[in-house]
Amino acid sequence: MSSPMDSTRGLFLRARDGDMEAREKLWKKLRERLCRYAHGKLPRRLRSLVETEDVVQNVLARTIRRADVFDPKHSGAFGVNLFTALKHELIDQYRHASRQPVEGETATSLAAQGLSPMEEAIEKEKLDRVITARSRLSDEDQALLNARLDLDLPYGDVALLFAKPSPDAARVAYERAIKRLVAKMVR
Amino acid sequence: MSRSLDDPAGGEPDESEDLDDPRLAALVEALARGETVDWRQAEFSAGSEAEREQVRALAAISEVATFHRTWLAEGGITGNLDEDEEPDDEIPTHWGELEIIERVGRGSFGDVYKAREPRLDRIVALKLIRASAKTPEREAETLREGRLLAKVRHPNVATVHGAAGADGRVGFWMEFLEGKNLAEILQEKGLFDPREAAEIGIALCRALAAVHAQGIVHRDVKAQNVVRENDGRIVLTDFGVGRDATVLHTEEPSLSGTPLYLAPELFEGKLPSPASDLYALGVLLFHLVTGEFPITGNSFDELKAAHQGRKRRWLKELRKDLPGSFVAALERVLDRDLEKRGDEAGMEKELRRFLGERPLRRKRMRQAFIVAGAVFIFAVGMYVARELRRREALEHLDKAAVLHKEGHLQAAINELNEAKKIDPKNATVYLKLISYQSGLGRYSAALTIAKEADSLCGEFSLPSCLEVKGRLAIQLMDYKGALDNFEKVEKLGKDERILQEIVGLYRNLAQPDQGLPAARELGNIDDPVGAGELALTLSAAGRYPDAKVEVGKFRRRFPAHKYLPWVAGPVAIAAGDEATGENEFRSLATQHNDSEDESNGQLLWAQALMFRFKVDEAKEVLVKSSSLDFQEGFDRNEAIRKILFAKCFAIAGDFRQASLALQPILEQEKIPTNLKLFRNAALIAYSVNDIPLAVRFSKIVSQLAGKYTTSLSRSFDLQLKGELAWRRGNFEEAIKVITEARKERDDPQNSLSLARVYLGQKRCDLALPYLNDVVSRRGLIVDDFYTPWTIWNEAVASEASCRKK
Repeated sequence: MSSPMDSTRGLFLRARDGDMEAREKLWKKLRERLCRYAHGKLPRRLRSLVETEDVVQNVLARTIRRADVFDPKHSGAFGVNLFTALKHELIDQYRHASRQPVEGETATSLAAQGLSPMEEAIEKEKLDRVITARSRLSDEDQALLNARLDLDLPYGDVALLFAKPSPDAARVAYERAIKRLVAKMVR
Repeated sequence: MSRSLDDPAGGEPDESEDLDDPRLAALVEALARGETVDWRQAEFSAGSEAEREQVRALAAISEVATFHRTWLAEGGITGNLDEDEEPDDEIPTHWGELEIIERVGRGSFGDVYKAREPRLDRIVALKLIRASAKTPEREAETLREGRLLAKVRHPNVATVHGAAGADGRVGFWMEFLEGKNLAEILQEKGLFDPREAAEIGIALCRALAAVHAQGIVHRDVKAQNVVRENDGRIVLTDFGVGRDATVLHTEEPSLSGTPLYLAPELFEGKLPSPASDLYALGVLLFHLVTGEFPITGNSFDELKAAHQGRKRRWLKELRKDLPGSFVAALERVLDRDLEKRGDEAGMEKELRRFLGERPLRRKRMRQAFIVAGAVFIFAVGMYVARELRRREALEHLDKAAVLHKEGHLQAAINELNEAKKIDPKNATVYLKLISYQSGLGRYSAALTIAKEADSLCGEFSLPSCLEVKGRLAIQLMDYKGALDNFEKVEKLGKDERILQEIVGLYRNLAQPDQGLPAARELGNIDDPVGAGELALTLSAAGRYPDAKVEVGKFRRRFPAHKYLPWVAGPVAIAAGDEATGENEFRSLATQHNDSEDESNGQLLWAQALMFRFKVDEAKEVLVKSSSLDFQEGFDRNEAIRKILFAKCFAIAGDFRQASLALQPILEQEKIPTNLKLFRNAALIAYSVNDIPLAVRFSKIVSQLAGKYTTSLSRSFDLQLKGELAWRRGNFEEAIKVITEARKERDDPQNSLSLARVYLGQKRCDLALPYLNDVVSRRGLIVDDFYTPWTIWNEAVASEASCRKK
């Protein structure tokens, strides 16, 4: 069994303090999952131009550099933060790519004026209800919802980030978070 | 209360428990798995406003999840993040005995595969719960769906071949439908022509009649759930939300099914019924010809308000070109008033009229109309009446079925009596009691129960009541009346049990030819009893080569099945292969552990031996069989044994012993079911010149015929009166009366009696046609368990003698 120091959170804290071995372990631990996530989300046209691994490594390095302003309160927070950062990086890449449309592809204007794409897609009142209720949940529940609802991470990754024994346990935890969110929404 | 380690809320009360309702929990699980959920339907299906509110919240969360999952992909970016998560996503190569070919569909919790059943070399559709999605409830639900479908056998209802658990997954397999659903066809080809829609409507009326006849309400009739196969066959499928009456009674009313197809009464909290299925069929046909729905709305409340405010679209307004008779047929079943909606038979009739077709088999259609109308009224009454009592009774019924299978008939009857105490109006309990009591030879008890059940049913024509009437008629030896009732049941839906009765009744009525269509239907069912009935009916109808072919098929499909000798024996003897027949019966009499089978087998073996003039051996077998005591059923077989003993003695010329063997039959119960025994005893008594004994038996038959007037009893009575007249030398009277008897029942025994009279007059020319008749009906004679088969030998000998002269 891995020691608490080798948990994602533990490794992150050690890496933040300059432990290169921890940083290496962290990279080894997350690299494959991050790359897979990035590969799935990276714009097709960019896959030949940008090395997925480069994007991922940049994000990891940046996240660790920002460690002084980020204090993970629970096991999943660091991982979720890392994947969120990666997603944002990918969106940036996407936006960049969409400004140079490739023949045969339709560029979607993501630089929507005023409303965010999500606000455009989901009725405001409904969205507000979800957002407000989410903010009233515990940190870990919020992180769980981030991981699955926003990042669409596979349960294998959720289990790793949140130190759950199996993907199934991660799914059960997520289901409970949803139930608590619903309870907040209907009050 | 202990708290899970996964629960990050620590010691705080867990609000998530509010969503522990299984239906909501299933929705949360589906959302968590990223599966597609029809949130609108889920909202409609919610049982309360609070539950609806929770569903709306889940739907909003799902929207957020969907947005995040698809947003980037919309710009051309895709990715399967779950590819490492669903090991069971891989298509298995086998499940149980089935070879899986490919996946053809993916539902919320299960997958549908195209598979091959190697034993029968047929392609089937296999519905399996995904390993990652299985829960005991879901497994039970899947098996339930399979069993529900398996209850219905109709060309317009998807046929389920089996339901089981194998390789850690539960599922059921059914016929593979090659075609498209009506929603797909509508989308691809546009609006349906009214004639085309009417033809679909007729097929679905028949399908629903079959479904309802089994006490099942489909609850989700819609375009997506009806498949038109490539050859044009219309098939109703997907009973995912279907419920049989038993389950329905124990559930809170809730809205299931696609909202736009829901009948108005369902919005008022009433339970789904055959009438609400019929309404949905009306909506479906409306949709096919207009592309619209009669009532629309964006939410539960809007739809409810539209129904209440009677704000609906009319067919005539949407399509002015539609013929009036078609419009009338549809609008009638869309009526708010349940009674005005009528039933499937009525709608089918109207649609046929629109198509310019004469209703098929007018009389039966009318009967079906009356039957289905009463079914509806009775069903509505039933839905609200029984509930928990029924479930408890069902437990006893299940136990009884197990005990019956194990051969403990008395214990099974005790269970049924318990069920009867709890649920005294459960027709199934009565039907089983009649069957089991008859199985034990307790015909009086069976008759009493049948009468009791019949009085409970009154004039109701519910299938189970019709079956009760049929069973009662059998107990009264009124085969024609029984046939009439069973054919009504069969009209409401194909059921192999009922088809078996019909086939058997035609054979009992000495009209096996007429039973052939039903027998062929049985033969098409993948079931040994069905295969056997077809072979026996072909044999009884004198089609021996065809019968042998069917026996061959039976042997290949169900080798070593215990029913095989029962079929192969009579067919072999009827076809002239007496040695094989004798061997089959010997195996039946010696190789089974079941005492009832063994005892019946001994009697058939003795018959076969007598048929081959091995009288001494036959007597030995009969003596040996006397030591077999299988519970109370001994009475019936003991009586048959005495008849056969008497016949053996008669053949051997020991008339006194023959008379002595017949004496105990006088002590048998004076009930219609024993008519044949008394008739046979009388005939043998006449043949051994014990006229006083013969007259005593004849009087019993006459008394029964006076009390229970059926063609059978009249025929027997007249036959014996003819015998007496002949014995007294009154040939003219004898011929007249026996000819009358023959008109009542075309029984080979009547032909033989007439031939005997003519032979007594030394008129071979007149006797020969009747002797030929008996000789040509060897299969029918061998099919009769009760009557000595040696009447055929007698006819052959007389015929040969006549020809010599």
